[in-house]
Amino acid sequence: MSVDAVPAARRRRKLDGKNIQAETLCFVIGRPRSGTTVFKAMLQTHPEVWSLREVLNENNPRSYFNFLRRLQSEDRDALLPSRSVANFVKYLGWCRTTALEKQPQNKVVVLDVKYDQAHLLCEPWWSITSLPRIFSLMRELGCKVIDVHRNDVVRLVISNQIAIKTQIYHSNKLEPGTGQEAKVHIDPDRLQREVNATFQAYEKVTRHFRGYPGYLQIAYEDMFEGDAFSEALVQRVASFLGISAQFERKPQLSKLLADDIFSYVENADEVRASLARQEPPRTAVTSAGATESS
Amino acid sequence: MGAEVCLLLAVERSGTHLLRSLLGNVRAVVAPGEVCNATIPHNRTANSSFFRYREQACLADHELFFPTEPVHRRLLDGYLDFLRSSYAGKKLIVLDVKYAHVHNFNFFWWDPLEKPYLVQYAKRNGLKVLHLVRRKVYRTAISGFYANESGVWRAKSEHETKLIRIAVDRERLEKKARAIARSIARFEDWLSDCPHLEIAYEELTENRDASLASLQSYLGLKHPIADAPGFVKTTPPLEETIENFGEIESLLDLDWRDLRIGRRDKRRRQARHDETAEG
Repeated sequence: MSVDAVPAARRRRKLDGKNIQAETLCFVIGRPRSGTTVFKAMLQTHPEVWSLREVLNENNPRSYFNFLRRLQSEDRDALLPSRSVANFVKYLGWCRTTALEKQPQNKVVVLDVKYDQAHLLCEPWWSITSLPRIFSLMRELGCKVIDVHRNDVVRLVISNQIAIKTQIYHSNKLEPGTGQEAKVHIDPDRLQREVNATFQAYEKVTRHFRGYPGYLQIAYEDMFEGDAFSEALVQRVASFLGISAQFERKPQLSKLLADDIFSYVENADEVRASLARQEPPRTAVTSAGATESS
Repeated sequence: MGAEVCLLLAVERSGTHLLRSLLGNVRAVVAPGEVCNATIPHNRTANSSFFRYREQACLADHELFFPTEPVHRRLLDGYLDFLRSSYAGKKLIVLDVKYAHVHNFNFFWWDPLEKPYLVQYAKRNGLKVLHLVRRKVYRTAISGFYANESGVWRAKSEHETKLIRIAVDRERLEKKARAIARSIARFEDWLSDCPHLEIAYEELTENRDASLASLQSYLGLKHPIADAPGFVKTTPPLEETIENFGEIESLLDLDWRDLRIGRRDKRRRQARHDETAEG
């Protein structure tokens, strides 16, 4: 029987993160439009933090895929899914080395992985009802994980639709002082589906990391005090990462959308009415990492 | 014009070997092994291996490393063309893709609750789809446990099977069966707007003639499918092989639809059932 024919759980070996100094690697995870970019930008202002941005994003020259391409030139079997975990661990080692080259005093390497990209680390078998392999890999290796949630999930989903339509994801793509002006038509059913999917994903990820000391969950809504990052957040993150709180408190990006998200929705009345008819989400996830039944 | 392509979607231990061997009895049909089972070393060189194709394609074109939607479409188009040329002379190619393999075809951004790209691709390109469902999911789960323990995943004759006795942990069994039921529910939902034929494993084994007739009709085959399976069952009668048979006997014939697998799936299935009843 082949290696790839065996379900992943049976093949799983205890992975050793010592060689890659896994405790210095910090995954920032979340759904798109959760505030991960502004949060990462804050982390990057620290003299001992280096961010490799979204590591599963093909537009990132330092992405896993670029690494994989180089790997395949040396080893043509590198693309086989049975190699994926080993490849990714090699990539993490490369990330650590790169960070030290760029920043010799580096203590934390930040790697951004969106929930919606997590499936890209493919193993031969993956049960569609379970979390993608990368989540368990983070735990097995002993990496740090900061999970950014957004409590206002409706806003998250609509914000994502606007970004997809306009291809404007961050304020630095706009003229200074201007805001997003586009309007989108929102399919109420799709909105509801995505809202539910987000709550389910939050619930699953929270459950997966329960009891893991290397996991910190933060809420976008708790990130700011006025126009600066909140002192509580900064202290909490610094303590979690084991570094000083030398972060730039002023956000590098500004808010793209005004407070009333429905002002960007062409069919706002229809969407509001649809949301009012729906059952409340099944679970609410607290920023302390516990899941409460609603 | 090249061969038509048909996807065979199923959870593992649902009878895909049996179905493929039956379809393989038709001269115009080829039904190779799991296309995403990158078995090392022998299956890696199989013509039908998706990974083998991807490996070659990525060496030739580095853009294919980056899993964007256009790239994936190109990769899939190329893969199907490659299969058509590999199986020149065949009229139908049946691709065995397990549920646990569909993620290999997904591209960059994907919400795990959204329809897999492969299903979207099948619908857009008019591929035929066979959805093989083993309704008695506890038996599916036990078949997996048994194969794990015996090391025999498939057998062409009784000589290749192995009789052992196993103890089945009821809690583990229930967990596995519910996970399988949730997967089936999800695929049923994803396939609801994609033309397909659902085949029940139980029908295939107990009412073979009718199943073969509906397969022949759906696949547009000129000749009947010969009832000459190439594989035998690998799991012996459960009362002979399970040490704690009495403890789990009451579960064995439960249908996946009878399991509690979450409000959302249940609501969806009820809504579809109501629609069908109204229709």
